[in-house]
Amino acid sequence: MSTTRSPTTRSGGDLQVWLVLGLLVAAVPVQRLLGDRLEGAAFQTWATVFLAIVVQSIPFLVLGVVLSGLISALLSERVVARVLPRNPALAVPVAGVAGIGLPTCECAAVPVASGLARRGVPAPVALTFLLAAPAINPAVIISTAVAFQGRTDMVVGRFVASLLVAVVIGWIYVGVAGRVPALRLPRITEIRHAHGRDTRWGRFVGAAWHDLLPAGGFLVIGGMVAATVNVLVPVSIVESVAGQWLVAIVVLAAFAFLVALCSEADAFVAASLTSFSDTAKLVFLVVGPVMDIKLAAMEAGQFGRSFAAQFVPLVLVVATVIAALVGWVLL
Amino acid sequence: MNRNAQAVVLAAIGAVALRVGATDEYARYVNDWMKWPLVVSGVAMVALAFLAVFSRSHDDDQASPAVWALLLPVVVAFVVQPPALGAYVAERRANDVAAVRLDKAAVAPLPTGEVNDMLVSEFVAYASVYPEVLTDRQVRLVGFVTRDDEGWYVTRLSISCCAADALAFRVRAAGPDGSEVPAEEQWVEVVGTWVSGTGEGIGATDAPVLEVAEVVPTAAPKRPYE
Repeated sequence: MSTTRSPTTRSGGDLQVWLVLGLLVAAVPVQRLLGDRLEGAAFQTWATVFLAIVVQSIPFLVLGVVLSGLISALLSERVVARVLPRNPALAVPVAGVAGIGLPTCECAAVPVASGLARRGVPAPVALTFLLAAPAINPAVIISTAVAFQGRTDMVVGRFVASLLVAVVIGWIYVGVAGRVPALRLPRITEIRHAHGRDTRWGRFVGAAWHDLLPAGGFLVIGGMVAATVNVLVPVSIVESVAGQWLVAIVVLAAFAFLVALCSEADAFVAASLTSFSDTAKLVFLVVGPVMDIKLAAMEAGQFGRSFAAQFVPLVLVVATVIAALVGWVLL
Repeated sequence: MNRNAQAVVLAAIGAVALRVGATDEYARYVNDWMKWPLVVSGVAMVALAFLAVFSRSHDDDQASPAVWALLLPVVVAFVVQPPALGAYVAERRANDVAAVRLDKAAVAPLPTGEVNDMLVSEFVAYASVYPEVLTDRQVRLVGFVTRDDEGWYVTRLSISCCAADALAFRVRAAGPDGSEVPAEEQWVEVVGTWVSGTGEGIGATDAPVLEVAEVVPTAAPKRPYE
């Protein structure tokens, strides 16, 4: 861990730097002291799952931040205005379909959406992209087809319902935002030119710096909760409610929110929930990618807590209802 | 948290990504293809930390307190050094998963007269959907031992993205007569034949049974998950 030492020496009396270093160094004696007590199977399982969630998110987060930095550095407001339909109500479905083009997990979508909004993409359009990208990209479609053994109705159902959720949420923000002042729009912070000159490189580094740390911190907080639920709530407990259709749908929606699986993996878990109805499984597959505890935390960090306090429950309800309806019609 | 402190946190988390990606540790947490992306993003994070510290700006951008949370995975990686998932997860997610991983397009018959190496998840899937493939064929499975009141299982976890989505597959071991049951969590290589009729049907609740001819204890494989 030698890399952690070097960047600090410049400002000698920096209390917070020493505090961070102190916490890291203190880990050594703590490990000596606690070594044996950290052996409990449940705790070790939690630690593995927690680190797995963080480790698997890091490359996607970095990719998202790099893309966001590129958007900030290269995309001008003029280009945005030319590519997107002027009318936000038309731009929303365009952004939804554009989600096909970002084949990554949810973690990458948050910084990218924020980068788009900074370059003049209307907030509802950026939100639609944020919801659509992790849910309907080719990697997710393929993994769903594999997990469900090529059942086209499940694949089509997931695609249609996810795209509908993203577009409907976008339209809600387009249509209602002006009229209902209580509905808050995301807070899009301009990046101050923290690196002095306003060069492309400076803008790129500034945006990357600005996005990476808070998003990472919130991601870790979401990951802690997800790992805890993952270890404490075995699938067998969830399965005990599979018989009652309404309860089953609500429980699987909540389960998808809390375990925060990545969207390329959740189909395999859904397929293993054999005692649930197909509609309940579809709800699980539609809710997870558009909203989970990890995303909620990251969105609170990126777009402000008061926005997230409305956005998170709104998306959960809309996604559950639309997925249940699509499942009822298609499956 | 001020800029320099943030840079230290970023460098530390970057170092964790770098270490996990550069060593075999990644296999405990994520899929194979994540190895190099982890190395690259680790390097990128450390580089960004240096850039931030050595750039001219002295503006006081206070980040949200959530940044402190990033220290937790660093400490967990270093202090706990969590092992690959094992029997604890396998028991709680026990094997009612049938056939979710059989993505081979064509199911070719296995050659006779030799021992066929097979994934535990494949064995479970064949038994449930294409039992004819297993009939009268010798197979070799590698997994760790889990036990219950009636006996023991050859168990393997399978992940698709990361350890959070692990599914457990297990095959009940019958015999060999008079041998000792291996210790829980011990990795073993077993050779045997499928007991026909066991574990058949999608959603089969009982694990398929392997009539074991030979059990050899082995070291844990580099890639603990299938």
